[in-house]
Amino acid sequence: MTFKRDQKREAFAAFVREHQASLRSFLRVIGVQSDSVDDLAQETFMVAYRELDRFNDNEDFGKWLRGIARNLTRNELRKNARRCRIMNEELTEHLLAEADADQSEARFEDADLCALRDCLEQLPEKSRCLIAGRYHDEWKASFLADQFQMTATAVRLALMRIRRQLKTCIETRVSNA
Amino acid sequence: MPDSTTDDHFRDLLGRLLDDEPGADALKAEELVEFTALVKSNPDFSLELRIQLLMDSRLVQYENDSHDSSSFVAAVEAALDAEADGDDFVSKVVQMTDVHQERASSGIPWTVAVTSLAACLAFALLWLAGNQNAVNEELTPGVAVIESLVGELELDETSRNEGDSVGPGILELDGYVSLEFYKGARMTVAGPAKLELVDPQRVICHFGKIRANVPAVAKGFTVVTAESEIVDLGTEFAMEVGPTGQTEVHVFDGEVEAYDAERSPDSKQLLTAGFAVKIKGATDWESIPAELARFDDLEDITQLAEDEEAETLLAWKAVNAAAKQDERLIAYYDFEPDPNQRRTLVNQAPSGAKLNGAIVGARHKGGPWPGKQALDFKRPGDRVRVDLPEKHENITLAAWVRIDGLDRTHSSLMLTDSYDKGEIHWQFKSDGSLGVGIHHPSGKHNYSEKGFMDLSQIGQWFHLATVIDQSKGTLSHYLDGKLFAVKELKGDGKLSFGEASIGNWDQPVSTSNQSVRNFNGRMAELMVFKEAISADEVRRLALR
Repeated sequence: MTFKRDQKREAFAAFVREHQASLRSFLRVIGVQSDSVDDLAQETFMVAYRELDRFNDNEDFGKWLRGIARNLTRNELRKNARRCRIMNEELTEHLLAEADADQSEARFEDADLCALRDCLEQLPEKSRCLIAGRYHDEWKASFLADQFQMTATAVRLALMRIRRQLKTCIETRVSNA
Repeated sequence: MPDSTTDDHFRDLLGRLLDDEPGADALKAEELVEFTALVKSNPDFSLELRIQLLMDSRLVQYENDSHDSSSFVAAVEAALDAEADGDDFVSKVVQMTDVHQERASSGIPWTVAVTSLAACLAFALLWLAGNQNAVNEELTPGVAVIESLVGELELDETSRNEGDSVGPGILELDGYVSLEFYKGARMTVAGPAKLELVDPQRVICHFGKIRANVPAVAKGFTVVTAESEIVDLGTEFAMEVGPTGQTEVHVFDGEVEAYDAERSPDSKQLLTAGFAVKIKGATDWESIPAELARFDDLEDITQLAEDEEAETLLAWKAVNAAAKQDERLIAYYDFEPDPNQRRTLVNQAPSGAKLNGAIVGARHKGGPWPGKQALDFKRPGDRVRVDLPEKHENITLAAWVRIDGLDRTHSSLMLTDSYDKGEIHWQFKSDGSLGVGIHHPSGKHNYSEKGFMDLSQIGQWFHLATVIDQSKGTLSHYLDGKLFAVKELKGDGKLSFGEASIGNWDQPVSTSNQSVRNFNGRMAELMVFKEAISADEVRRLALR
């Protein structure tokens, strides 16, 4: 792919907007720490930008990005654990292998946050508040437990159940769309 | 197929991995090993983990403002711009060396030239940053944001708070502060410390202990001391500067360049991860073993901040308990959700449920400290409807508020419907003034005072109080427990609210032009007293 400099910058910005959500989800699913997902996604885009001339128009840009993201994550496996941006070396290796085996990768493409928004709005109020407390206010389960007069275990199980429900709800919406 | 005990155990580990932080119930190393073994041995567990991680990531992107699409895209674009600027730096430095030195054209291979240029890059950065600063200073005086503060901090002898954006100036610290510089560097400082913030890439340290984390995008971030200049090439390092300028530099990760105070090229030392240097004077430099553990306390600022917040919550709970018994309160709304009536704003004062408010649109969100809730007012329709029927000689209004935008000409804290005789409007304006309008029998009068906040304080929590004391003929505004302005009352007569809206304005249906005065922000407490309370009491309510 060859661009003049301004065109390259402009076309690339469009790629970033289009692919950022699914790329960030992909990095999380291959075992990157939540706090480091945006960092590694940004690095992935920077590598892609520098290497853009090597990208072939006939290829799938999302797939190419995921390839770069995989390599960057593999590099993290070799780094000192103290500064580590991955969840755990062995766990991340397993998740990387799972991603390699999963050729469909379709689950990362339905990154439409509108479906998530609609599904969130259908949740009962308490579930909505738990999700808002956990993700908007960034409170952890032990803290939410005091707020909602639940045990920390119950909060964690509820969050897991809600995430499952949301996943099912989004899939239903996407398949009915 | 796993048995139910294994299944429960897996869920317990997974929940703690995803939803807890270190120190609480998070997984220990051996549990993480066990969890990994479970995931590898069972495809169902593996799939469940992947689904949970996927939805975790989606929810972070959707719910958390700092991770939403626009923030992320802006960060990538800034990094792309920085890279483009970096190319420009290299070409500028090449031009400079072409003109001033013959060395650049002396057949040095390009790769070597670029490597040595990397060292010059920091210099070029400073050179250019200096020039840009002169041009832009009036437009963009901001240097950094106070991300977290435990203790007291003054900038140019004015006390500053967490969340403030700060411009160039002398910073004096007693405690700990974490600063995020506009170009991307992060720095934690332990007091007692005195620093001068010069621009988003340059700090002068007179004394104190510093730990800096400099991402690639902020390469060239420089700390100057009496005896040295430390230029970061994209890494993490710590420094301790004694009162006489004696400096130690310890490198955690990556590389830094250390120069003498004159920045003479001959003095340059490249320090890599795990190395440290002690600088006693212009020529007295000594390599020492790196002692990374000495700077561990600078990593603990998050914990310290949490401890402080927990203390604040306790102090607020004491105020809350006392207020619930206080007969002087017409109404007291603590904005904590009631699980049995979530759309009701419960009046906690002894006057009881008849003065409960009805929440319209606004949602419960996090308050000023973990453990304290607030209502988030965002959309033009968001409000709480209340009816406070009695009339009183004196009134005190006190609230914890966070202002997220000065986007309306007037933004309501609490406004009576319409604006009839005796009625009060408590609001702030887009110029950052806090005001009370009173419709006296003799006419309407506005008692506002500018400067209680500006755009650099958007998103910060304030305690606001206004005391209307007709026996003294004064109206006093307080900000964070301190007297901010006193006004002479221009009329008299009983004061009332009647039907009113918190965070909005309901005008009579007959009014043809409906003004929009919705509040953009959060409120975590509102007290309405039928008395003028003392300055000491206001300070106590503000937890000062």
